[in-house]
Amino acid sequence: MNEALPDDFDVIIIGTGLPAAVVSGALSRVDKKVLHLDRNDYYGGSWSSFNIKSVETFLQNPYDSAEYLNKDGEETSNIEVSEDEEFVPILQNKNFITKAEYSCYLKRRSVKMVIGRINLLPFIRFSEKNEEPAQSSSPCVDTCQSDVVEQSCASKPDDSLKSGETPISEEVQKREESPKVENCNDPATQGDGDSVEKEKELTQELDKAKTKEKVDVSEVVKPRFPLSEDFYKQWRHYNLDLSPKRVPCSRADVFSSKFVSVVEKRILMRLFTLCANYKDHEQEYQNFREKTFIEFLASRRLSLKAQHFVLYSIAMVSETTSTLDGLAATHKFLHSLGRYGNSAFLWPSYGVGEIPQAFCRFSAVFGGTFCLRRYAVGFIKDKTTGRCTAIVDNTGQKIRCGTLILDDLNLPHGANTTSTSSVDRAIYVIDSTVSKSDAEQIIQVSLVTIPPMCDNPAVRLIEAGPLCCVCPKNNYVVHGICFTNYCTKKNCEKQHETNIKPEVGGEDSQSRKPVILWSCHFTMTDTNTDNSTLPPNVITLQGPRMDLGFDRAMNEAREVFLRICPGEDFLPRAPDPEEIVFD
Amino acid sequence: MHGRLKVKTTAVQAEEKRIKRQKKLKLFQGALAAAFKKIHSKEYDAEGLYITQEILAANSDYYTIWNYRKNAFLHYKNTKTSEELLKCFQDELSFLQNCLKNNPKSYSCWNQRCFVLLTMSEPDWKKELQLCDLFLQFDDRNFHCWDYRRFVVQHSAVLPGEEIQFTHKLIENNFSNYSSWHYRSKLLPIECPDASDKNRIGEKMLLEELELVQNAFFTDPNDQSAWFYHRWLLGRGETKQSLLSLHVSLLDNKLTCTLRKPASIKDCSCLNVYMNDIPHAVVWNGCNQQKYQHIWQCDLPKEDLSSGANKIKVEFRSSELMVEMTGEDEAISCIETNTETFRQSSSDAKLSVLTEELKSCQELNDLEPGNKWVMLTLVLLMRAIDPTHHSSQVHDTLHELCTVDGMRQCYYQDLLSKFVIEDHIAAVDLHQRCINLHGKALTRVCRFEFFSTITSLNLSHNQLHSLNSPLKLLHCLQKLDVSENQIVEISGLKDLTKLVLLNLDSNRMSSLKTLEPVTTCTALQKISVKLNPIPSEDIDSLLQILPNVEIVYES
Repeated sequence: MNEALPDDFDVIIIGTGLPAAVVSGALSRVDKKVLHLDRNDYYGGSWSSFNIKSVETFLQNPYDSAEYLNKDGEETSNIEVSEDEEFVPILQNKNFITKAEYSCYLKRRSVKMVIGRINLLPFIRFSEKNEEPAQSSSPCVDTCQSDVVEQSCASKPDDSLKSGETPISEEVQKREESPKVENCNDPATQGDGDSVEKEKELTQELDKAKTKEKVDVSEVVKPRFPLSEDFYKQWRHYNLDLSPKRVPCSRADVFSSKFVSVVEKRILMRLFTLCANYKDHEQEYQNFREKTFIEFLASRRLSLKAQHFVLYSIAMVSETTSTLDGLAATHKFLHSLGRYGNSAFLWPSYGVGEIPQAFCRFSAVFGGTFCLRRYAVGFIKDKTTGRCTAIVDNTGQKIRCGTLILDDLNLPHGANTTSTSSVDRAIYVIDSTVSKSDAEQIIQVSLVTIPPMCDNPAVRLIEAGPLCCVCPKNNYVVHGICFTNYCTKKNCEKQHETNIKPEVGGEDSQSRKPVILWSCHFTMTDTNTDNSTLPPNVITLQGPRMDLGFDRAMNEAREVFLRICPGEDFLPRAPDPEEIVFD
Repeated sequence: MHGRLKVKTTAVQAEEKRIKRQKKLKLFQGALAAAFKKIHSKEYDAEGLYITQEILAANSDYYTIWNYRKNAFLHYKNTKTSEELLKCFQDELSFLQNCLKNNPKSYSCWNQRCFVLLTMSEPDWKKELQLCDLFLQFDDRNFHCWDYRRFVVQHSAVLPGEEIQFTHKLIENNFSNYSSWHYRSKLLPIECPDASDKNRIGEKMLLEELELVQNAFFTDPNDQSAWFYHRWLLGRGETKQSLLSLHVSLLDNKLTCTLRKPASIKDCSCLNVYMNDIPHAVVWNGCNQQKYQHIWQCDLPKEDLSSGANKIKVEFRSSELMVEMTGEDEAISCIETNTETFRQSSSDAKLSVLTEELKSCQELNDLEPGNKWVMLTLVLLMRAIDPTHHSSQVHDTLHELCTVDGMRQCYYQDLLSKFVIEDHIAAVDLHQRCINLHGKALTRVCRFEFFSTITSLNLSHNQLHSLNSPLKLLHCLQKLDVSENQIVEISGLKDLTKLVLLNLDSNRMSSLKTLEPVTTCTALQKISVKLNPIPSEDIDSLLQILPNVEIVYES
């Protein structure tokens, strides 16, 4: 893996996150000479999927795995630079994952779920085979070992992604939020000897969380917050019962839903019809341009209940979102429906991590050079032109480039970086579903939005069942995602201290509550790099956020591509094999 | 540049395609020639089956080739062992499934499938039903597959309840699917029939279905399949056959009976005539050649009528009418008309159900003003509930419909004309023998059977375009005023033998030819054709043809 690479490329890309992979594919497609490096031994960067074992390893130590030599500039003294050149080190972004912890409440050997993949994005997958995420470890110039993923991505890479709301599933059923969540302290349900131990461990873990200085993410996702008194009051006020309801979002859903009255069905359908073509009917929302989306919804005679599920579960926006943004979000949702079945979502069977990898493979098919476990320790800047001329990789090789692209895990030294937002994440493996309701249908993936309550920010839950191949039979994987910033965090903290009452068991005591088998919590922080201090031909890319879709990543990739190749086609259709002339 | 992909030009690709097609055509034609040789020589063997299979795989609509296969299987039936035969049929079924995948709307394939299943010894109907499920999943409106499904259901005694469940599933998936709704309308009367009428469904089920269909039209009021089903649920009441009127004329010694619905001569055996309560055998004659007619006539013996037999009664099933001769030349008797006379023809559902439906439709109309389906349903419901009470609302709604749904303007106008005439009939005493429909904006005239004893009919100042429906039902009509309309033809006036006075002023009669029917009105004395674009030479000809008729025209 240390063999020398060619030393001149049009573009060098460091890191294989989604936007980086897409840019790579797009550039190779128009015959740019691309070198693509990643310090990890897997593709995807912050978009990767892991199995449960490697996610534990990863969370224990997210950064050391590939840290060979790069001890902040130590190496750099060896780098030869001429007088009119300057060496700028590239550092690993260590802010990306913080406050990571995980717990397993089962005897390890007794569970089979030690296998499979966990995405860093909210989509994870277990499988029966022991799949390691490792990729070929030598610099690989993939030839045409096309498989299904490549086929589908290669022929229409952007279409399947950009359009969409997104990731996801044969059948992601959207659900109205629900305050119901797993109750971990339910020993009665666990017949085996593990239960006592488990309970103890869990309480310990909870106590630990309480004593921490900052409120842990988990507090937001854990069951207690929705069960506070206030919460009940509020929900009674909304006249909603406490089990998650399937949100009617398509015409067929609206027709068969028992969740809304016939009159509401009409009102909803009118709203959907308007949103589907809202740009042609400006007069309908003329007076609401300056107002919020929720005010607009209220003006459409929607009941409070319906307003909330349109806001949180269909548009997936907040109460402060403007009418136009809300309409655009609803429009996007509605236009994602029906492309692949009766849902706006797709669930990738092999995890979201497959997607950047597929674009990398696409890039390789069109001539891109790929190399894992190799990265840039820094780049060389020409003092007179102010441009980046080459990179120095971790073997010490100098490779010239016209443009350098860095993904969110690689930060040029000295650049101004700001943490724009952070997302608190929790992943649970539980032993029964949190979203059982209309029992006849087997729900494979549920998306539950818990609206902001009692000063807590909105929480989105994604539950995937065994049919998604993410966990063994009868188990479910739940992702909790929550945007945090310092302001709401403080509120959370206060809430935590004053308002959280002991578990309210009454409401739900007949039905069995899910027991947590495994859990992890971590915070993902997005870093924005200020490009203005960088040479004009060094471009930095953003990381994933709370987004369920890939729109932002795709748009960013398109912009970067057009910056490098103005006027070229972004990912034109790849030719079919029979259209290609072989010499 | 090295490694750059070279893509063939479209011309090169088109040429490759053309050559490929040509090759394919040659193969196809060769196979076809071989197949026809087999067909002509009635040679039924494995080779023939193979060739025809190749042909049908390319073109599954070739029924001549399918017929060869049918013959081959019938031939095999006598020559092969049962195992061999079973194998053949199973192969054919899986081959057919492949053909249907490529062409799910091929008549020939579905037909061949029926043939195979009827011919083979132990058909697996369950599997066929699953096949239907599958194909209806691909396209829930494939009527070929629906037909086949009914065929399978019929042969395998599937319970109607299961099929109802199935339609429910499809409707939940996509309710813009009239095939499913229609299938329901066939199954439900079997599963839960109404106690009194086996073609209708019981009230409990009816309410459930109304709720279901209400969900559909509230979700999408523009979807016609839900509205059609709704209309079926509320049902068009069957008009009961009865006597409408009786007319006895001493001038020609004829008794004329008018019936509510056209009847055949066979039905006339129920028409019993009594003279002074003594049964009287008669021979019934229609007034034209049609099998089913409203009006039946018979001769009465002149001597009986003049010798004091003055009570003539006609019985028809449960209805009866009687006339008493009091020295006049004519005597009539008609039924009493009221609002109930026509109400039932809109719907025979219970009033409570109808009121409930009217309420929810009004609610929908408030939410969705200007939807034609809602408005039309409102009109029909109001007619079925209480025509007089809702009269002005019905008028307004229909006028609104004319603008909302301009393409069907004439339909709504005709509907309104019908309602106006019905309301008029309901309010008038038919014994007066005079109907005045002046200035009612009528676009057509209907319900003629109620007018059979009328002598004077005023249809002036309306919007009639023609008088082409046979007015012969108005066998007493003497005076007809149709002035101030837009009439271009009057073929319906043919053979009105009692007509004396005809006013055609201010119409659009344009030639002698269009006036010809009046020459068959033998009693005609006066005809007025003022303000019609008739050339003067045509008027001259008319004067010659009808020398004894006073013709009024502007010179």
